[in-house]
Amino acid sequence: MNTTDQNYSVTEEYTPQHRLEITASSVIGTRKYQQDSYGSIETEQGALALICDGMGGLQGGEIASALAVRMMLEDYIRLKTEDIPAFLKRNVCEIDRRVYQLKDEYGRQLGAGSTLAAVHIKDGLMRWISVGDSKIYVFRDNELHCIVREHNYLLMLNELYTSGQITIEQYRHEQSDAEALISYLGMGNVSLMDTEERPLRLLSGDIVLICSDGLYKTLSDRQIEAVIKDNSFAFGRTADVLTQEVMRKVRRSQDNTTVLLLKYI
Amino acid sequence: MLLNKKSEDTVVIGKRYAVRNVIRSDEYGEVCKAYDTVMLRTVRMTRLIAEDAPQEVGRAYELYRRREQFLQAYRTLSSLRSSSLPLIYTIQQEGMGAFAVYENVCAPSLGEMLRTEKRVSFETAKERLLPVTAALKLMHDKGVFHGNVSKDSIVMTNTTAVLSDAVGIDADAAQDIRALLSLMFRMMTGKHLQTAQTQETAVQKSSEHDALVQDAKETPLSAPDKIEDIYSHSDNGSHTHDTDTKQNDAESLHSDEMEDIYSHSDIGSGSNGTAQRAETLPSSANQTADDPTFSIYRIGELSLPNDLEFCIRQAFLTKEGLSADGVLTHLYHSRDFAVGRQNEKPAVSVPPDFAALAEKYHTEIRSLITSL
Repeated sequence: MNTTDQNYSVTEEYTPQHRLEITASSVIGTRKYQQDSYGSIETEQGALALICDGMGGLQGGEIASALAVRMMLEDYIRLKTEDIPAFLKRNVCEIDRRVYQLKDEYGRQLGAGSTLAAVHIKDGLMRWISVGDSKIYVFRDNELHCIVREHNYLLMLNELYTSGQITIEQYRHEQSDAEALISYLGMGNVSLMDTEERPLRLLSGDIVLICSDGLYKTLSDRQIEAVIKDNSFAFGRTADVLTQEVMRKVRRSQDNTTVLLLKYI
Repeated sequence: MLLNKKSEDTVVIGKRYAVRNVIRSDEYGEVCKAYDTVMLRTVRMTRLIAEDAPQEVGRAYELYRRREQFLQAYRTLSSLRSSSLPLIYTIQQEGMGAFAVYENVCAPSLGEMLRTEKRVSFETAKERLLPVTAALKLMHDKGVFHGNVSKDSIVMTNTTAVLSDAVGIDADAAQDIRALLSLMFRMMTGKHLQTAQTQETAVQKSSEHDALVQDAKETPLSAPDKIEDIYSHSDNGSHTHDTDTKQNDAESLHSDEMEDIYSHSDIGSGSNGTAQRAETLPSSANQTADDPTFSIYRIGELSLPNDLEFCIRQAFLTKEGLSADGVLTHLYHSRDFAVGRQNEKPAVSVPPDFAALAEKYHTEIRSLITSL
């Protein structure tokens, strides 16, 4: 190709082939059970990645989160429709019902639950859904942007206070329960979920980070940004480094921590 | 921990790392301790410093080549998983230079330990240096060489030994092996084994030994005595004269003469000498005096396993050149050094239940990562 030739013309349109690099890491922290589960799958329908953070006594949370991930991945394999937002919403409701119906060996309701944060990427378009307090970030131009909310009591308190339905004294009084989830899989009638009909167009170099609360409750957004930037020379190890940094900061108690990163190249 | 207020003189690298103190500097750059103001921790940093606007094309290429070498070495190092290597946090370019930030391992150095211990057994020395040997093997396999293996660059944590210092640019495997085996020798004998490299440094530093250097050159060499001379020096550089005063000063020997000591050509210089050497050789030596591979190297009164003695000979005494990689390989496979191999991550495979489902629904799974 002679770039100095003024008569040069492009005979074929060059379409860059984008691809995804995916890396994940999970640590148990100081807990007895690992109640986080994660999964990512890539088919001709695109890539689906999700994290579920289980909760519930004994191993109930582990069962709930594993069930959620399995159901989502298996249903995605069966998926033939192009309507991804509808698929995500429908599946979240179905998983919610199944987790609600979980029973122990004595036939009693397990009472377990799980969060869910999932993204779907195809042809540079990203769709997502989130229930609970697991988060989805987009790292672009060296900055981290969180695109979902934490579905906890604090969210409700803020809305009540903003709308004037409670006073500041009531707000402060209720803050002790701020971290309690108000939406999660296993409620039986989950209705609060963060999703968006319009997809987000990814740019080359964007990194999507899905994580359980163990990450952002230990590292600040600035520290997470710094780690992602520091490992730009070797993206494959970013997830491991993030969980290692979490474990370095362990003092007395550290929750299960799971991170899943997708880099759009 | 209270953060010191940043003074106007504090050098900040990458708008983030406040340099605390420079540990070492050379023609390429410096190694320093710094404070990471984002992750809030002390780190170590190696900086490859270069002028930003080189005037000559040749110089510019040289800087470019050096920078790429630096980046490649640290990228490779960052891919290695070893508890005896510091964790690499980041590697970044800085104009024509670069810097690497890595873990600052807080633990006493091997040098500090050796100040209280005069000598340790071979088993103890081996046990302490085994993690470092394994780490060096990993590095060398990937073409990365440390260049600064010493008692001060190895720190002893509760569980292992860590090569805490940075890797060099112009280092090679032979340098690392020599340093490692010198260190082992030092631990077992309490004495400092002078190699050609360390000898050159000692000569440069000590001008008052010039006369001794000249004198040693003129004095005919007597191989067995020469060997004893080398081992008769204490580590702090003072000279203890066990035999002849003039010949005991190994530090003042010219490097060529050091090679002569190790040279096989010295063998058979006299029938008396041959007989004398035969008496003083360790019983493990099977070679005869006329064997070209016969070594006149006597390792004091130590009783070392055959493998290690062979390795030391190979590392220090082969006149044609150091087969350092062979030495390390030999150590690696030796029954006395049970070094484990780095486990590679297994290839990702699709669990059978997912694979069956995908086949049933005619879906091609291109990748699958799951905790299930």
